[in-house]
Amino acid sequence: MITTTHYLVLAAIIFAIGCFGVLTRRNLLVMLMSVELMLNSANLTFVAFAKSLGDTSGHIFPIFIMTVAACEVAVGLAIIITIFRMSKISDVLGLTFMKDIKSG
Amino acid sequence: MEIVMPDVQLLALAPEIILIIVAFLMLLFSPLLGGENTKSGPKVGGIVSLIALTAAFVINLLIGQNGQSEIITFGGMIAKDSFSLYFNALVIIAAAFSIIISFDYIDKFGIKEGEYYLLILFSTVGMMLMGSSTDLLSIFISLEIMSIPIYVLVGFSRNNLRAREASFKYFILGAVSTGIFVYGAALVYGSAGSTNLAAIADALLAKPLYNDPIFMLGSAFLISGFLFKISAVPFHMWTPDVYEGANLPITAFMSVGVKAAALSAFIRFIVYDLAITGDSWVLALSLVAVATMVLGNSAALAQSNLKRLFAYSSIAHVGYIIIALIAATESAIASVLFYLLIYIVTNLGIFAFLIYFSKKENECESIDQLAGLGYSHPIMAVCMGIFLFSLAGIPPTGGFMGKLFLFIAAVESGYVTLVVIAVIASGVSVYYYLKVMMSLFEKGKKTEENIKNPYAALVVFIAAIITIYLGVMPGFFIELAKRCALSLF
Repeated sequence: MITTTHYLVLAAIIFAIGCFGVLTRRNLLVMLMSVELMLNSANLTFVAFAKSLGDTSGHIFPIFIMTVAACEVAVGLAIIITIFRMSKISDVLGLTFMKDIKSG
Repeated sequence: MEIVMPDVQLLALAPEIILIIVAFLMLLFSPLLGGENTKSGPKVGGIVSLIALTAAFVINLLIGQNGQSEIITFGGMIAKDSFSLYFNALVIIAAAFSIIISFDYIDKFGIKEGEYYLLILFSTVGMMLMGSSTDLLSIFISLEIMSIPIYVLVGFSRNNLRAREASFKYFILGAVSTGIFVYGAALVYGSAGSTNLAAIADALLAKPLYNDPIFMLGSAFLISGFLFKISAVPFHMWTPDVYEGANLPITAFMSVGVKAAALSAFIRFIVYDLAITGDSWVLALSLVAVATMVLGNSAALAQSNLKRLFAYSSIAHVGYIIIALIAATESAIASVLFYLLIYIVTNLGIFAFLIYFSKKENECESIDQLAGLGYSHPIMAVCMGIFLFSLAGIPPTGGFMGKLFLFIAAVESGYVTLVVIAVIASGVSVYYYLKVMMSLFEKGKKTEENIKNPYAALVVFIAAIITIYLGVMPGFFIELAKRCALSLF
C-alpha cells in the first residue's frame, strides 16, 4: 500500500538530490537540471498533500510552478549559451572573472 | 460541479495593468524603434516607460485617497491596503529614477536594444505585485516576475564576461532559492492546509502547528527564500559579484527595488503568520541579523571597488532592518518602512553619482577614480557626502533619523543586545564611508574635465535634497509610514 508518506519521502529525496547536484556538479547545464529536480520535488509534495487533504488549491500550485520553471529554463539556457559563445566555458569553475579582494 | 468565479476588481490592479500593457506595446514596437541602426530608439522607450510609471504612481495615489481602507481581490490573493500602496510607490520611484539615470549611460555604453527599459517595467510589475500578495502562490509568481527580467538585465551588456558571470551566478542561485521557497510553501501547505497567509494564521491559531516539524521546516525554507532575495547572511554570497558585474543603473535598481519588494512580502509573512508562532524563530533571525551586520560591515572595510563596497554596505543595512523585523511590532514595521524610503533615495543618489563620473565604456567603480573630484566638482562631492553621511547614520541626514527610529522600536520590544551590536557595527561602517569621502578630497590630484550628464546630476540633486529633508523634517513621512504599517495589524 502506497501512502502519502511514501510520496513525501520520495519528494524529499528528489529535493536532496537536486540540492546536492547544484552544489557539487560543475557543468552549467547539469546545475540547471538539478534545479529543475528541486522544483519538481515541490510539485510532487504539493500534489501528495492536496490528495490527502482533499483540497484543490494544491493542484493549482504545481501548474504555476511548471510554467515558471519553463520560463526560468528559457532564460537560463540563453545565459549559458551566451557564456559559451563568448568564452567556450561550460564549467562553473571557469567563471572567475571577478575576485573579492584584489590581493598583492 | 459548479464553477464559482472569484471576485475580480481590476481597478485595484490598475497601476500594474498599465505598466504591463505599456511593456507589451514596447515589446511589439521596440524592434521598429530601437533597432541596431537607430540612434534615438531606446530613448523613446525610456520616455514612454517614464510616462507609464508616472501614470501608475498617480493612480496608486488615487487608490490610496479613495478612503477604502483595504481591497482584497482575486480570491484573497491580492490585497491593496496602505502597506502595499506604500511599497508600490517606493518601487515605482526606484524604477523611475533608475530609468532616468540610464538615459546617458546607455549611450555611453552602446546599449541599443529597446528591451532594456521594458524589462525594467516587467520587473517593476513583479515588485508591485509582491507588495500586494497575500498568498504563497501570488508571492511565488510575483517573485519570479520580478526576478527573471533582472537575471536578463544583469547580463545585458554585450561582450562583457563579468556581466555574463554575474548573470549566471544570480540566475542559478536565484533558481535554487526559488526551489527552496516552493518546497517550503509545499510543506507549509501540507501542514496548514492552505497557501493563503490569513488562512495559515487561522490554522495556527486553531492548533499549535509550530510544534509540527513539517510546519517548522516549511517556514524555515520560506524564510531562507526571502533572506536570499534581501541578501542576508548566510545567503549573501551572490551580492558583491552581481552588483559588480551588472551595469550601474541595473545595480542601482536591484539594490533598492528587489530588496524593498522582497522585504514587503517577508514583512507580511512575518506579521501575519510567524508572529503568532511565539518565539520559535526569533533566535534564528537574531543570529542572521548579527551575522549580516558584522560580516557586511567588516567585509566592506577591505574593498577598493566601489560597487562591491556598496554591495557589502547594503548587506549591512539589511542586518539593521532584520532587527526591527524580529520585533515585529507596529512601530517597528513603521520604522522599517521609513528606513527603506531613506535607503532607497540614498542608494539611488550614490549610484547616480557613480554614473555621473563614468566615462565612455569605463564605469567609475574604483575608489582611485574618485581621487580629487571634490575640488573639480564641489557640488556633486557635497551631495555624495550627504549620501555617505546618511548611510553611516550621521545627523542631520535621513539615515540618522531612520536608524534612530529603527533602534528605538527594537529597544522598546526589548532587543537591547541586538541594538548595541548594531550601533557598534554602524560605528565601524563610518570608516569605509569616510574612506570614500577622503578620496574625493585627496590633495594634489586635481582633475579638470568637463562632464555633461544632466540626467544623473538631476537625480543626484533630487536625492540629496530628499535625504536632507527627511533628516530635518521627517514628521510627515513617519506619520505616513505609521499609517501604512497599521494596515497590516
